[in-house]
Amino acid sequence: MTTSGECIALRADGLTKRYGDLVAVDDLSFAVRRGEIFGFLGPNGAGKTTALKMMCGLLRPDAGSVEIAGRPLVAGRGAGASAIGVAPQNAVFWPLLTCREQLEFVGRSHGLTAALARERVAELLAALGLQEKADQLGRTLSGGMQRRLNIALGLVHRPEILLLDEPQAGLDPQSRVLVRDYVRALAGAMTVVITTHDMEEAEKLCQRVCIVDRGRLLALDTVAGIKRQAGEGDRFELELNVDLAAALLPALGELPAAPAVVVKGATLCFAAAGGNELLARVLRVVAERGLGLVQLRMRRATLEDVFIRLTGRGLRE
Amino acid sequence: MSGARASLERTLAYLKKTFWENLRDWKVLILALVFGPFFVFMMYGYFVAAAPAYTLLVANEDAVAAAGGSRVPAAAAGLLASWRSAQHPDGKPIFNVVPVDDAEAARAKIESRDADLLVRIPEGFSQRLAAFRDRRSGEPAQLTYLADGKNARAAMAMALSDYTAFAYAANLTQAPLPLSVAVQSVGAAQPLDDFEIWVPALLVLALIMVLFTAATALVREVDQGTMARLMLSRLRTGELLAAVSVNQVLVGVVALALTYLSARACGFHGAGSLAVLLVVGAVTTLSVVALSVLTAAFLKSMFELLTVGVFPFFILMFFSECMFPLPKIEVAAIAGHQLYANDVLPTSLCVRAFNKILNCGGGLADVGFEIVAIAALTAVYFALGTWLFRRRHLRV
Ligand SMILES: Nc1ncnc2c1ncn2[C@@H]1O[C@H](COP(=O)(O)OP(=O)(O)O)[C@@H](O)[C@H]1O
Ligand SMILES: [Mg+2]
Repeated sequence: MTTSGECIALRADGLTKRYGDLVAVDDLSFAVRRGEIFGFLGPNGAGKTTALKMMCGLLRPDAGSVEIAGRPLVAGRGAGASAIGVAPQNAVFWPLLTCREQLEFVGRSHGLTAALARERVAELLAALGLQEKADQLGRTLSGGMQRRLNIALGLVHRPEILLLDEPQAGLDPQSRVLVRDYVRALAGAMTVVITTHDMEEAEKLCQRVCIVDRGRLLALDTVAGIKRQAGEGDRFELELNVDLAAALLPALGELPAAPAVVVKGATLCFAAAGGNELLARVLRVVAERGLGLVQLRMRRATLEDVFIRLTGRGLRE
Repeated sequence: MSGARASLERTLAYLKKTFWENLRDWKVLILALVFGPFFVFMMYGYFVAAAPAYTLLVANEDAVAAAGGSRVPAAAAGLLASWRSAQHPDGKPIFNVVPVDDAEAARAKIESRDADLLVRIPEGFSQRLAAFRDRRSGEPAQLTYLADGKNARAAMAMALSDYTAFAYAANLTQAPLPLSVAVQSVGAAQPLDDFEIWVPALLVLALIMVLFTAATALVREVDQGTMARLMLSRLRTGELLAAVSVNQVLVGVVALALTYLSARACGFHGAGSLAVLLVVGAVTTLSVVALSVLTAAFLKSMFELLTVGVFPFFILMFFSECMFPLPKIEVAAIAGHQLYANDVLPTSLCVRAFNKILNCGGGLADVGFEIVAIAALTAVYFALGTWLFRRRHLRV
């Protein structure tokens, strides 16, 4: 995989932010490729929001730097104005303006002509399901709609990079799907950095994720790669009709990635990476030896397993 | 698009936005707009409509009761009648005359300011005046006043009571009055009544309310977090402040007009040019916006604005003498214009300018100095306010 400057949309180098004794973000370095959906995964308080604020120039790092498409980002007013769009964690919008008014205002404040702003706003309202409430004041919107407006506000000026801070939090299932599909559709044309503590969401949405805890980067790879790299793999439980589970052991021993196996009577438990291939072999052995399969359970490794392995603790909610 | 054109467009976009927000936040807006008129009607009620007559408590110890054919006139009764019939030019009685017997109770009323003046007419009052009239004695009859020296109304009550009493005694004793005083006022042809004196200050009070609407427009962005969105846009601080200023000057001018019309409805007739009044009003509103930026720099939430923000509001109201006059502290004179300590508040200069325009018929040339001084202060406060606002709210 190439990481030449050409296809890097955002690069963070040694980003660090301290609040007194607390190191909220600790020497964070990563590169987000153009057009990908990049997940920033970590429990509450991991430093995701802090990192995101430094990525858009709203917070000055104590150390380190951010580059947007190869240009250094200087923290301060209007820093990333045209290149970056942001949807903050707490929906930030104007309660006394209608959806349309505030979206058009944001467009105008980014230098769009009135006609172009109107056009973009109409598209966004439709795409994010806000059409019906287009002329209602922000403060009268439901929580889910406020969060969708929050996303739309970051998109009016068509940024190169969209930063979404926990966009799925507080959304009902329908909105969740709508937002997920919308973000997916954006990818390619736009680079999306999305923070979440929801492993499932990250798996569904992101090409690559980094796992952060206590401000530090623990892993960075594709979702599959991260599972391979850090997880113990997919888990299997085979229950046979005779107490002959041990008969399978030699066969398993021949496998390329010899798994750790636990035998409990007729039940065989093991975990290994690359579940599909392994499953095929095991079933072949079962068939060859004429054994009867009573039950087969397989649980694919999740990011949560990986996370717990990496941090040694569960999610803090 | 050229830079200037783009900047103008962003400013107009923000102007439109802040205008609608201001309108939809109607409670604060209404408060700002009706504050001036409310005080106009209140002051009118206090000074004119209810024109409270001075309460004279009269302890009459003079024994001569009836005039009749006696050679001694019932002077105390005559004096009481004189006080009772004394009138303002508009026909309203000057005094509310209340005879009293209990000296202690009367004194308590003076202390509590339920009455303005206690007059004692001594025993033998009528005889004294009769003797004076008949040239049998040169010793004057005497009235005793008891008043609360700290009660401003008492001084006025004494002066008017004196005048009535002297006129009555002179008439009774056929003594010629050696001196007559004609009161003239500066500028306007008619003497100013209390209400008219207050109108300029009340107009400025309406402008001071812009402190709330302007600071609201700014603090709201901080409070609801939208300042971050503005910071991520191309909008500049100067553009934001220009838009807020234009909108708030509009609010100030409307408040000024409403307050002026309210005063007119109460019978006030300003002497000078309304156009000049509007110019001074607009410049002063701009200065209040500048002070709002300074205020907003210290505030992070709407709650803080409505609590802590009241402090600068009172400073402006109090030291611009919108509520009551203060002792003047002279600091300097520039080109023949005396400057006082409280002129660091542009609204104080504005009260003087409004006074010149409305009560003395002043024109643009008469208030030119004030306009320049207010504009200079506006520039200073804007510079200071913008610097602080940037530091406090726009620094990352
Ligand atoms: N302004 C601040 N002052 C002090 N501490 C802060 C501030 N902002 C964030 N923190 C702390 O920094 C850590 C990371 O916060 P944050 O970036 O919001 O985490 P996340 O978004 O991953 O939940 C937390 O412990 C939080 O309490
Ligand atoms: Mg967060």
